[in-house]
Formats: sequence, structure tokens, C-alpha cells
Amino acid sequence: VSTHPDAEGTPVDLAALDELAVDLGSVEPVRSIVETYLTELGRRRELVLAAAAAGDIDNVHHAAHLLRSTSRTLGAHGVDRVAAELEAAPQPVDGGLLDRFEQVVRITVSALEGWISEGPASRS
Amino acid sequence: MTHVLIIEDAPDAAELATALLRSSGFDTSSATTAASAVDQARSLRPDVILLDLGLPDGDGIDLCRALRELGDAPIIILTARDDEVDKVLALKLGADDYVTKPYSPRELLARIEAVLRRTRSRPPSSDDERRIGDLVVRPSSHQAHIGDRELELTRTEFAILAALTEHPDRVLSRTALRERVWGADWYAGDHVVDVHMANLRRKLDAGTDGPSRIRTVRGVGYRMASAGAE
Repeated sequence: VSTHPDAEGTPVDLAALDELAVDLGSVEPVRSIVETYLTELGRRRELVLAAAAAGDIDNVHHAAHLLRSTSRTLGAHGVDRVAAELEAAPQPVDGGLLDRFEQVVRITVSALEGWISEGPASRS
Repeated sequence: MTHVLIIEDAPDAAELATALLRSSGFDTSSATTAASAVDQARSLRPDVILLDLGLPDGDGIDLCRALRELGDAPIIILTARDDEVDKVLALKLGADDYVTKPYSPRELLARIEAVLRRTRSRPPSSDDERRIGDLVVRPSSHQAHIGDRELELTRTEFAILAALTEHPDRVLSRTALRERVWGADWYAGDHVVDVHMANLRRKLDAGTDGPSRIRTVRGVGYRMASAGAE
């Protein structure tokens, strides 16, 4: 997890959330957005895995596409990158790619839940 | 207060756009389906519409067309699609701009402010009726006819027509046309002008085989032929 504003190579860039809080004038709306994002991340993770297991490549692509919408804005660069790979993945979806997806989702959830509970001030 | 209708089915994306706009002083409402979007556009009369192309109950392109027919509020397409075809098609159907997701909050605000400036800074309409052959343009009532046929023009197409008919036979450069229609702060490419110009020509020249009423002066710009479709 990085807090560096240019850290797009890392799984989660929490500085993006701080910047968003500046844009929105407060950290509270960002917390709410992150909570909604985490709910959606869990839902879309299930969609990707279920569609991959069912051999439904169109729904894998669709769910991966949805994942990319806000991931980068919230600093979830790892999810964005793996979702981009899933969006272009051929059928059958490579097991290694799904493993990386699950791993990056776990890292992202942990980092964002930490940000919600601790807030940006604790890292300054 | 400027009212923005956000049409977006992804809860996190909708919440992000809502928070961003409200923190910047906009009033917002949101719709998650094409059907509710049409209802809200009709009842709330928003000043700006943000439209995500990937809705669950309808094609975003069709919705864009329907929204354009409902009113003149500028439409900004939000799309995660990198597909140029979607963007061009949306512009053809009356969208005013597009933003590719993921967008930066500041970019989205800048785009909204730009379309609002373009909409609000257009010069006041003249009451003068302009007659060029069988073409009649009435800027004050936003109407244009060819003979008995009323032209159904989008706001942008009408603005182009109004600019060109102000001084028939005078060439208007692409830059001058862009500034007249979109404002000096427009930063999209020439293809946007081309798309709207092509649509306007198609409507103006429907049913005729001759050269277009709008002449391209190569390397210079456009002019409205004073004798109509010669």
C-alpha cells in the first residue's frame, strides 16, 4: 500500500483518497463513497468468479468493466489493472489471473477498510 | 442553483459524481435506469445531464436521442468505453461532450462548467427573420424552415445554422465557427465540428441532389450559399 500520489504501480494509493477529500471539501463524503465502493467490489468479485466458473466470458468482461469505473479514482490501481486484464481475457479465464484478482481484491479491501477506520490524519 | 441529472447505474460511480457536484455547489438528482432518466428529465428540467452509456434497461445511445428530443439541456456522456464509435455516435445524436471514465473530478467539473458557459454565453437571439432562398431561419423562436418543411435541429445544429446565415456568402472560418457555437474555451477536436456540420447538411439538403447549401471553402471554412441549393 502506498500513500504516494504518483504510486500507480502499487495496489492501492491512499493518497488518491486524500486528494479526493480535498476536491470534495471534506473526508466524510469520501468515506461514504469508499464504503459503497467496497460493497460493489464484493458484489462484482462474486460476479467475476461466478461467470468465470460458468464459462460465461461476456459476464466476466462486463463485471470487470464495471470494476474499472471508480477503482482508479479511489486509488485502487491494482484492481483497475487486473480488471483491465479480465476485461480482455479469452475464454477460459486463466486461473492464475483469477488468483491475482482475488489477491488484489483482498489487499484493496484491507487497505480501504483501514483508511475508513483510521482516516487520513493517522498517516500524516 | 444549477441542476445536474446524473444517469448512472453503478452505485459507487453515482455517489462519487453526486458528492463531487454537490461539493461544488450544484443541485443533483440521479437516475439508475433509462426509464427513470426520461421521467426525471421531463419533470425536473435539468440544466445539465450526465449520461452513462451502459445502463441495464436500454442502450445509452437510444437514451441520448430520447433526452435530446425532450429538451435543450447539455448532455455530457460518461463512458468507460474507449470505443470511438460510441463517442461519435453520441455526439451525432445530440450529446454536447463526453468524458471517459475513470475521470478526474476536476476534469468532470471543468467539462460541466464549459458546456454551461457555452450554453449561457451564446449571443442573444436576434428577432430578425433571415430568408435565403426557400430557407427561413428565425433565431428568436429557434425555428428553421425550408418551404413548408420545418427542420428539426439540435441546439448545436441550429447555432451553426444561425452563425452561417447571419452573413450569407461570407466565409466563416472553422475557428470562428467554433467560437461562435461552442465558445473560445472549446478544446475538442475538429471532428466534433465535422459531425455536427454533417448532420446539419443532411437535414438541410434532404431531398435534393445538388451541392449542399453549406459550401466548404477548402482551407478556409464554410459559407452559406445565398441562392440556396443551386
